[in-house]
Amino acid sequence: MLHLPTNNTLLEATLIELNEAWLNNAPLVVDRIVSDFDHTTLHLLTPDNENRQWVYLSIVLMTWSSLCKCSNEEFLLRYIQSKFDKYNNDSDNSNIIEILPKNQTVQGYNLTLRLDISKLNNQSITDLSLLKTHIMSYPFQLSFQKFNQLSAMEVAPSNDAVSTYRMQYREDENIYIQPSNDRITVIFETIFNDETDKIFSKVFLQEFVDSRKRNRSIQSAPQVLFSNTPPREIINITTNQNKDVDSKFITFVLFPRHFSNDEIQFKTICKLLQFRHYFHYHIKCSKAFMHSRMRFRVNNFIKVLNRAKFDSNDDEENGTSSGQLDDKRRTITGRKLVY
Amino acid sequence: MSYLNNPAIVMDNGTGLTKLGFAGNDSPSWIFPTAIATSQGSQSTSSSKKLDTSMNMSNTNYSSSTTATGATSTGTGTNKNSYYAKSTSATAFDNLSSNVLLSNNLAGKRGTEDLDFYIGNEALIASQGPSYSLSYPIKHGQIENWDHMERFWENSIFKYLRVEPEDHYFLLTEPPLNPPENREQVAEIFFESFNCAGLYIAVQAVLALAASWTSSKVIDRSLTGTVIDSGDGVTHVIPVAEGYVIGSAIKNIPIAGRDITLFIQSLLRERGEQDTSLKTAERIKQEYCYVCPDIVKEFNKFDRNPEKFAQFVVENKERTSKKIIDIGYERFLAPEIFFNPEIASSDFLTPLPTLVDQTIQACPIDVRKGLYNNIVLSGGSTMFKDFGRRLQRDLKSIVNNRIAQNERLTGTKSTGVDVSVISHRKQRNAVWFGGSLLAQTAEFRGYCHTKQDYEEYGPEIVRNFSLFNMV
Ligand SMILES: Nc1ncnc2c1ncn2[C@@H]1O[C@H](COP(=O)(O)OP(=O)(O)O)[C@@H](O)[C@H]1O
Ligand SMILES: [Mg+2]
Repeated sequence: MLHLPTNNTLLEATLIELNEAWLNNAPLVVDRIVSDFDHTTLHLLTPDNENRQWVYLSIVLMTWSSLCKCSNEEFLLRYIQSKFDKYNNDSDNSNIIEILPKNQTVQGYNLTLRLDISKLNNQSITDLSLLKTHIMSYPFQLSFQKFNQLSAMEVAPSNDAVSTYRMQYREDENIYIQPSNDRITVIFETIFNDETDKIFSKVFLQEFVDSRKRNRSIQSAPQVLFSNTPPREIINITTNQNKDVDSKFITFVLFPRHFSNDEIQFKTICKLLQFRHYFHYHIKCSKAFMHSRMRFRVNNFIKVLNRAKFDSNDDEENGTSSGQLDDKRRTITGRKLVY
Repeated sequence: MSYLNNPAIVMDNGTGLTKLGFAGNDSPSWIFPTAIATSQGSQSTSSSKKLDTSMNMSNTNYSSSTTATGATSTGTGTNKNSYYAKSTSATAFDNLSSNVLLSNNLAGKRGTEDLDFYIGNEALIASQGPSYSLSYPIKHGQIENWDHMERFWENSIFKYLRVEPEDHYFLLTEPPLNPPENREQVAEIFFESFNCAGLYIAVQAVLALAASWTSSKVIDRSLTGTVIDSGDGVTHVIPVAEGYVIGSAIKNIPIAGRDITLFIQSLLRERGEQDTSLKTAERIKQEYCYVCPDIVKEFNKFDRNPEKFAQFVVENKERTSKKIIDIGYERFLAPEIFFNPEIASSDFLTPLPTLVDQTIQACPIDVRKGLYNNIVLSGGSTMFKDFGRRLQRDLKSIVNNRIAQNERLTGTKSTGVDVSVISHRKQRNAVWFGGSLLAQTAEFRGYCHTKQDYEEYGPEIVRNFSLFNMV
């Protein structure tokens, strides 16, 4: 089916399992990997066998270093912690969800959260399963703030006041976010390695751009533009020096109605962050469809071929020994001679 | 190079259940039925529309609770918990209505029938409605419907595992005696549809052997042994010598999990129990059945202490009504089918221990010893309590009888044969677990065929995979 959930359902299922096991007085010890798109790996670990209430949830993302560059790592960590602070207002001073200090981060990961598995509830579990989205929402949040600053200014800001946030979420692929005084421009830079994918992507992107023109009911959706060269907003900052890769650029133009309150903001961020997954998923689906049509055709051809075969059963009625002899006695078109 | 740190994906698509997960983990991340529910097209449009709208309505709140922030989330309810839990059944699922499914909003659109499908537990739920039909793309371990299988994989990868196949290596499993053409088809799908980075296809029995290394009984990590893999549809007895399957000696029994469930169901029906659904029969099988040492004695035991008859309570979802089901002799009679097939079947009569003996006797004489003393169990239907012990006892007596006879005939003393059946903790998903062990090693990638190899040589490249020799 087409729908891809926003959150990581496997992470969610695992946390539910851990929480239920705790509540049933049979706490589990885990050491499990969970994966997500765009070179993201999550890891659940029970650090202390004796004290199974605590579970470490670590995450490593390819985009982490570029996120840190959007401001700095400390602010980023504070921002992530703020997403979970609402669960920590417990009277006793041990937090339910807490980012561990840098020197205690599990090796090989960018960030480790310490969870009190006994106190998780459905809401916090859902929120934790959105961890990746929360982390990657950081530059969007910065952009929303910047937008508010810029739009409050009397005079249009000069060009050098414009800042662009870059998220390198895969090798050679980036998301650029550029707030200005009346809009926020989000540009996806993406590439296709496979030849077939390239062709499919062309068709898809054209359809994607056109659909807004054709369908009246989605007029309020952000405008989509597509080009093979860097749009002028990012012409100076594209880092892609590698000229062999033919990147595609997809631009979404967000207007204030797309981020007017927290809920809409979050929805917008989720949709944008899902864009590449859906795009690639649909290309795969289309290929699968082509394959099933091809199999259908081949089967039909095989049926036709089989119909054209001589019926060898006729021969066997005469007994196998004489069958070989009879084989040679045929008319020129291959019909069997009847004596 | 970017996929260096990404874990390899291990997929074991069984006749009944699919096991999916990441290499290095100790259990599969997802276990769900290898089932797909596809849209039935336009014949029943009016009814399908109705279902669709009802699904839409109930889904709006479901999806908002997953996509919205914690601030607006309304909690996810308990339905979902069971819905994502790991399955042990290929045919039954808690009686949830189709309302819990996320709508795909596709039923009304034309030309998108190929996208309108569900897999796994969602498929079981969807097929309760009128507009989807359920099918199992794998029969007797082999893929029968490639169209369905391709879509099944596509959904497993993107929706359940959440990975971009370009970034990961894949380890897939295949049944014994899989035709090479099937391997090529698999490779075509994985490399051409999904562009996966690399692929290794392993024989299930070999992986099951590797999984047994976790058992303390196993001293040397050899890939020689007899694997008894009993899943949902068939039971295979597969001799493996140094990692190579001795194909000519493989034997199979048409008795496996589904037949045992059906047998229990027929007993429940005969007695006229209140609930004789497959689901109930399957739960009784998994929770109450065991293998007894001697069925005559066991019958007597039950007659003397009727408290051995358990009772099983079925509650409906709302916990408003209760049905009490008595469990009778099927507690030990059902798994007995393996050892006395005549109980349930009239056309297949060889007991499992005899078959194992025949299999090993059909192998070259110099490997037989290794095959007898490393008999490894794998698959859900070997999970019955004392299954391994009974098998070992029966097989030992067959072997000892033969040795005694030989000694009488030839007059020479035999050194004896050590029969050892190995049960271990990872037995149920042994194939998957073995895959996880192999795929987490540093050498694994070297044994895979990569997308570049595929493009250079074409699909026939997957006809051969080099064996792991891991010590
Ligand atoms: N604890 C158990 N006891 C008995 N049978 C079980 C148990 N757990 C699972 N099964 C049965 O095992 C079968 C699935 O086994 P599996 O090895 O996953 O099959 P396959 O690989 O053919 O899909 C099902 O028929 C299920 O009912
Ligand atoms: Mg199996």
